[in-house]
Amino acid sequence: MKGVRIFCLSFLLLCLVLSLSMRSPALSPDYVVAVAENTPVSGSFYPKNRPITIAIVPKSLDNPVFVDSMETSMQTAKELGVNLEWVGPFKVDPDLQVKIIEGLIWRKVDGIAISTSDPEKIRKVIDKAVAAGIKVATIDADCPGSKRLFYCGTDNYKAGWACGEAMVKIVTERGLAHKRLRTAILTGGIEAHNLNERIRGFQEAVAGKLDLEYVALLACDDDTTTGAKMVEAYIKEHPETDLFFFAGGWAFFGPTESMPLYQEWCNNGGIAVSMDTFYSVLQAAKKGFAQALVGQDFRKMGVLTVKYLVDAIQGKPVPMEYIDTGLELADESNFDQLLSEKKPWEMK
Amino acid sequence: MTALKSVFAGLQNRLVNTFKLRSLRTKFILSFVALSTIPMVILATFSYGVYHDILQQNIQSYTSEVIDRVDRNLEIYLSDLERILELRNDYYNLQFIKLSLAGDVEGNRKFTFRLWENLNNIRNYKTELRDVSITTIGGVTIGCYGVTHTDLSQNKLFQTLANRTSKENSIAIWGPHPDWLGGPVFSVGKAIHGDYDNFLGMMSIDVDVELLDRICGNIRLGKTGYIMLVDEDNRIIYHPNPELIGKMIGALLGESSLTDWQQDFTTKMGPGNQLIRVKTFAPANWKIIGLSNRFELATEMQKITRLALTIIVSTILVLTLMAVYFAHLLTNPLKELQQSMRQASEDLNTNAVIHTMDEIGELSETFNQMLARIRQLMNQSVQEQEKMRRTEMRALQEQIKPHFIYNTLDLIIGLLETNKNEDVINTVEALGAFFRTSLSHGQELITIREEVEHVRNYLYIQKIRHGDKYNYLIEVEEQLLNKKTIKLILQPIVENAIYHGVRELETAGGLITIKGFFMEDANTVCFQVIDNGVGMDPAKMEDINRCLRESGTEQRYFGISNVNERIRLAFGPEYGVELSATPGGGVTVTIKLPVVK
Repeated sequence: MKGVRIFCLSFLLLCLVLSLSMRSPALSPDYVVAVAENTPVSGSFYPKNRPITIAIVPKSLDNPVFVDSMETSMQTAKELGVNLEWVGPFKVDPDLQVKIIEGLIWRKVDGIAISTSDPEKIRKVIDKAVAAGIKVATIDADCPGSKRLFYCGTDNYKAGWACGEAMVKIVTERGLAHKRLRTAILTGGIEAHNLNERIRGFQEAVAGKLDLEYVALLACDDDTTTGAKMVEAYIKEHPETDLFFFAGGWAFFGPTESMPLYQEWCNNGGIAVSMDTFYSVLQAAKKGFAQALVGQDFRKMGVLTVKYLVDAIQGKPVPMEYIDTGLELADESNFDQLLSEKKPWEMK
Repeated sequence: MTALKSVFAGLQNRLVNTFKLRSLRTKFILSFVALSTIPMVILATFSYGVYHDILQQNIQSYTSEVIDRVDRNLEIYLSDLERILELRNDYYNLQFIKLSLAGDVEGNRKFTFRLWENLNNIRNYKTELRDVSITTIGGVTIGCYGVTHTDLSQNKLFQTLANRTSKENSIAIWGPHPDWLGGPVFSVGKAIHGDYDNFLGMMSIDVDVELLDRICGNIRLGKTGYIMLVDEDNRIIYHPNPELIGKMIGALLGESSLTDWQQDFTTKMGPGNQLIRVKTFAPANWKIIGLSNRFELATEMQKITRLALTIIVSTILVLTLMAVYFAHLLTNPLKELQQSMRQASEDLNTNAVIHTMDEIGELSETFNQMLARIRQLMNQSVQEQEKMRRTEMRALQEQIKPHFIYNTLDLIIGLLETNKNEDVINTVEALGAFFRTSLSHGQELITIREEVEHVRNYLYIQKIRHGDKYNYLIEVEEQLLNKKTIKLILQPIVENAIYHGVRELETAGGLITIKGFFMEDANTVCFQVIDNGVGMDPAKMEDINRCLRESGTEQRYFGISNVNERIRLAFGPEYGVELSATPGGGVTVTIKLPVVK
């Protein structure tokens, strides 16, 4: 009996010792989280007594239409003693534009002016900025329904309407008003409110006066090269097109030599009306690439936007919510005059 | 309940009986298991230690290798960025800075657009690049997202580069911080100098800290170990747990862990039993820290130990079963032999059944031989006992033979006729005592005192009968009287001495002396019946002595042979009767007996 007990106890003891020796301690969690309070990584971007800082956010940096606005806004800011930042996505990218505006909110700039590339996406971030106490305006392209303080730019509906009237006039003069005409439209972004307003104005201006069949709506995302390529490709495929409405002058910002088929189409009687009266667009129109142009005043946009934003930041009233910077009409009669008054961009 | 208890009690008894420690079987099993287990346990313990050390070394070298790899990857990445930063002296960059510092916005149009395009193209080289920018000493920054204003006093990178001389051409690094979009980046930059080595600004690249996650994030040191990065201010700039980024390393690993990190690959123990390896990433003066969990080592060891234990336990189990089997093989013949012995203790006619040809088989055979011998001895003993009874009976018959009784009765009648009443009484008493001793209630052994009295009664009766023809003398040592002897050994000898010795003498004067004494060794009793009668022919004496030495010749010389035979049957062949001539005539009969208490 005693022997059995000793044997069993020894065996159990051996097993116990071995099992205890193998017992693994519980694994600690991956990271020890009991640490000191986080120290802020970075302070404010600006010193406390910094000058007023205003940021203008164009749809994209690579769109030369904003050059005038940028320059005049910077000069105005300098005159007013405020800092002006010109920030935006290099190419049209509504999501990145939202991100940039959020960055500006984080940095607590005093004012922001936005050229809205997609109102649906931008609206919320505008409201967020307003809620953060930042004075927000829109420039060039409005964001209806947002809490922005004011819009400064072209009345795009009126601009489209003017394009439509110019188209009616040319078509009527050529005796084609009775004919059903295949019409293509080039726009920048499908969602861009300002461009859609232009298209709406154009369509309503010609309605009842011309019988237009809208056969294509081409979107070049405000890219000049893409615009030219799309137009050239479309004309190659559809030379039977009768009319072209350019909601922006992107296709003519670059050298027109890249559009031989379009040029041939124009020479064969194609009729085109385009927005914008920049130097390169006027040059193209003079070559016959467009019969009429409706221009915007980007210089004025830059000046007024900065001025009224600074006023708003300083607590002064803004005269109106909708600041129309006016239109500039051009046709064969004043192409040369306008060309003499304007300068090429010379960006490259 | 009672039934259950009895079942348990039965089982316990069975177990106890099965594992009796004193049993050969249990000893064999325990020895076998102990001899095979102890070396195994020693080997396992030794191997455990060695394996533990090797594993720990492997973990350290693996951690060092991983840290080296991180160091190399960071270096490669930085060298790529350095090459990009060599573009800082590009014409467009310098023109932009100069015109910007001059406040010529319109004149800068061309360079602004060109730079936006260039910087965005550069940024697209690598996915982790958040921004590439040029910052002037006027605080204007042109980058991938446009033109901004920078508070130079808050920009560590700019301050570092601005405070360098134009000869110091190396890159500067600013650890993780938010970029102007609020995202975490670290910045690498190089100074831009003008024609007169004057500091004009810097070209910088903001890299998403996600890069650090890409380089370090997938690295796992074991299951829970990881790599972390710490900047020169001991702030965590990369940790797999994003919540810890930006916190001080001292809070994570303890303040004491911050010392002695000047040398690469310092190994320290951190909280939570963590093994810490550190290397400095020289270009940024960052610390690459590898933390591995020593508990995992224990987990690894546990696997090994579990395997070893499984093997050991299985082996012990198998060895125990084998030991039981071998013990069964070995002890079963022994048990059978034991069973046979037990049976043999009750019945000598059984034999052990021999199954094996080994030692146990030989033992069984020897046992069987022993049994056969015992049976033989038993038979012999039975025969000897029977023979003893027979000779005793014959000796008794000799003593109560009719003519001795008739002669004695005639003697008594004669005494009565002569009115020797007292002699009659004495003779009758002697005769009664004579026969009482002869029968002795069937006892085989009687005291020497009784034997001497018996022969004394016989001599008294014979002396009455034979008158003064002879005399007798009994000299027995007092110490001898209480010792024992088989009965009726002296009377036949004395009878021979009377009838063949002293009665044959022509004249009176015959003497029969009976002596009893211890021999020199004190282990032997010696009786001598000495007569001075007519003596005996030496040839006859020799013949009688030969008959006495050899068994089975009792038919001749019946009286003396019967005595001799009974002595030898009772005490062994070294005892018995021997005749010799009495010096001066007559015969001396010597009887040797063992001392029986």
